[in-house]
Amino acid sequence: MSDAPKPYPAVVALTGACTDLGVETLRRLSDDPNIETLIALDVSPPDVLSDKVTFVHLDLSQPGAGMRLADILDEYKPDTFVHAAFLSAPTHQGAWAHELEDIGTMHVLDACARHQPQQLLLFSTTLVYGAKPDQPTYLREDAKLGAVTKSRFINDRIRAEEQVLRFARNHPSIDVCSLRFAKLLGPNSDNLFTRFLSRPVAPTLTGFDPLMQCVHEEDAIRAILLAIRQRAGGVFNIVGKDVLPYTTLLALLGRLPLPLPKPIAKLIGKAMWATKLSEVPSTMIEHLQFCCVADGSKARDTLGFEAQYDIRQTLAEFLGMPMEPAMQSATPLSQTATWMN
Amino acid sequence: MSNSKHQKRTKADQAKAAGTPAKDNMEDWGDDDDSYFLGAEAALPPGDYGETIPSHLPDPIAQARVLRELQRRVRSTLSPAFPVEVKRPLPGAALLAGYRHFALRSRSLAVDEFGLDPDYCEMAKPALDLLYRRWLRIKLKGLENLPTDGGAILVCNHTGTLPYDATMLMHGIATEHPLHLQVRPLLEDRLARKAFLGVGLRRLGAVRACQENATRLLGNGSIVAVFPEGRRALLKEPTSPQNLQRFGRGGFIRLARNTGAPLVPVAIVPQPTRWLPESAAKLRATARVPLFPTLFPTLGPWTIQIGKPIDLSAKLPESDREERVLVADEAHRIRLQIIEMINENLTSGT
Repeated sequence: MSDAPKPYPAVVALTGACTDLGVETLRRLSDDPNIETLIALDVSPPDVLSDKVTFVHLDLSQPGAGMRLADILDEYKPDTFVHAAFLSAPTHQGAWAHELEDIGTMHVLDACARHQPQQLLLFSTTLVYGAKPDQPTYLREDAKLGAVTKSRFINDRIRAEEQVLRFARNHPSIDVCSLRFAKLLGPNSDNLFTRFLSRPVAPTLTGFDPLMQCVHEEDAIRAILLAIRQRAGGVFNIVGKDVLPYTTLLALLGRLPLPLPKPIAKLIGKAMWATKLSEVPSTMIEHLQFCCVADGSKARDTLGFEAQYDIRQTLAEFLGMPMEPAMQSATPLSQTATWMN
Repeated sequence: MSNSKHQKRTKADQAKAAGTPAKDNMEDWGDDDDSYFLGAEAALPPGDYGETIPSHLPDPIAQARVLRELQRRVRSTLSPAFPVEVKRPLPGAALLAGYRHFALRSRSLAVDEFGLDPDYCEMAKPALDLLYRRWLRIKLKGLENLPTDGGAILVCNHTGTLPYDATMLMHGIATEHPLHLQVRPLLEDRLARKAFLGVGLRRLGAVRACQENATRLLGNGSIVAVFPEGRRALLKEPTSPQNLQRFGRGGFIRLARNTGAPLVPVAIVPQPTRWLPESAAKLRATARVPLFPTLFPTLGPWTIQIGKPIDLSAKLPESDREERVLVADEAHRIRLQIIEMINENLTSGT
C-alpha cells in the first residue's frame, strides 16, 4: 500500500480526448473542483473550455508512442489514467486500426507499467462477448470473450481487453478498471450503432429477432465518473435498463425492416462493405441473429451505478423527438410477467 | 549579380530609393534562397518595416471554440441530460407515427427480461385455446400441488418432436390456475436457436436452457419447466409416446439443490397412436426426422398430471464425493415417479 493514498484523483490523463465519451469526460471532470489538472492526449485538441485541460499531442498509432507517453507521464504524474482511444465504428483501414487499438493499448500499458498510476481505466464494449447461441442470455463479467467470426473491429477490442486483464494480474498495486458499455446511443453520439440505426431501412435476418440492449450517453458518463471517483478496480458491464427485440426497436425508431435470409444478407453485406456503401462489415452479422446482452448487476452492487434511462427513453433521445404518449405509458414489466390477468 | 525576376521584384524599391539600389537588402535575398521560387512573390522581402502593431482582435479560432463551448453550456441548461438537438430530422412526422403504429401492432413496447411479449401472447391465445380445448382436450390434474410462493421446477416428459407439451403446459396453468401463474419452459439449445420457432417460443415465454438463466428465473420467483429427456425424445416411437427416455445429466437436480426450489414431477400423457404405419414409425425412429404426423399432434385427449412437490434442500449432502451419485439417484427416482404417473393415467383413461 502506498503512503497516504489520496482519496480523490487530482491529475487525470486521458487518451482519445476527442472521442465522444472522452471529450464529455473531460468537460465533466473540468467542472469538478477537486481535479487540478487534466491531460488530454490526442492528435488534435478537444473542444473543452477550461484552464485545467492541458493538451499534449500523442499519436498512439506511431511506433515511438510508448516512449513518448512514458515521458509525458513522467512530466505530469497523473494518478488516474483513462484509456479511451478506440474507434467508434469499423474502418476500412484495418491495419491502422490495429496499430491504434491493439498496439496503442500496448504502448499505454508499457507507459503505465513504468509510471504506475493509481488507477487505469479502460473504455471497452460488450461486443467483446460476441453474439453466440450457446451462451446465457445475461452475460456476466467473467464470461468468455470472443467473437464468432473474424471481425477485425471486435477482435482488436478483444485483444486490447485481454492485454489489460493480463496487466491487471501482473500489477496488483494498480486498480485496473474496464467498463464494458452496451450499444451507446444518445443525441450526441456518433458510432457504429447510431449510423446503423440512422438509415431509413435496416436489415433483419428472417426468423431471428435477438434481444437488444443499449445505454444512454449520460448514463455512460455517470458510470465513468463513478469509476474515477471511487478509484474502482475490476470489470463492469455498463448497461441501460430493459431490453427490446431488434424488430421492436426498429419499429420504435420508424425504420423499415428488410428481412433477408442469412447467406444473402451476408453476401449483400460483403458487397456493400467492399464498395463502402455500408458502415458495418458483414462479419458482425451474428449480432442480428443471436443475443449479446450483458448483466449489469455487478456495476449496480459494487459501483453503485444504476441506469436512469430505459431503452425507450434512450431511443427517443437518440431520435431527437419527443416521446409519444404510447411510449411514455409503456411501463416496464415486472421481473416475472403474467399476461392472463 | 541577380536574375531577372529579382530585378523585377525590387524595381519598386529601386524607384523609391531614387536610383540607388538597396544593395544590402539584395544581398540578403540571396540567389540560392529557394523560398523565392516557391510562391514567395506575394511575401514582402525582409527588411525594416517598423514595429509590429499587435492586433486588437482575438484569435478567430480560439473565439470560435469559446462560442461553441458557450453554446453547449446554454443548451445543457435547457435539458437536464445532454442538449437535445435534432440531428437526424425525419420527413413527415405523421407518416412516421402511422408507420410506427402499424409496425407495433402485434408487439408490446416492453418485454420482460427474457423476451416474453404480453401482446404477442394475447394474440396467440385463441389459437392455443383451440388446440388446448378442442383438439387435444387436455385434462389438467393436480393443480393444487403447484407451489404458489416462490419458484418451482416442473420436471416434465416430452411427447413428441415439437414443443406442444411445453406450450400446452404453459397455457393450461396460465388459464386454469386461479393465480394465472406463468410457467417458463427451458428450451433445449437446438430448438432455441431455430429460426422462427425459437423467436416465437421466446415471445410466448420460453427461455434457453442453461443454469444461469434458470437460476435467474428462480431467483425472481418464476416457475420453470424442464424436459430432461432432451433431444432423445426424438428417438421415441410415435406409437408409444408415453415411453420415457433416459434423463440427462441431472442438471435440474443440481439447480434445485443450488436454488432450494422444490421439484414438481409432471406427467404429460398423450393417447398412444395406433394408426401410424409401422414402416413410417421405424423410419422416423432411425432417421430422426420429424415426419408429417408428428409435426401436428394427434387427436386427444391428453392428460397433464402435476405431482406432489419434492424438497431436495435437506437431502443432498455438501460433499462433492457423494453428490454425483446422489444426483443420478434422485434423477432416476423422479423418472420412475413420472413413469408411474403416466401409467396411472393411461390405465384410468382406457
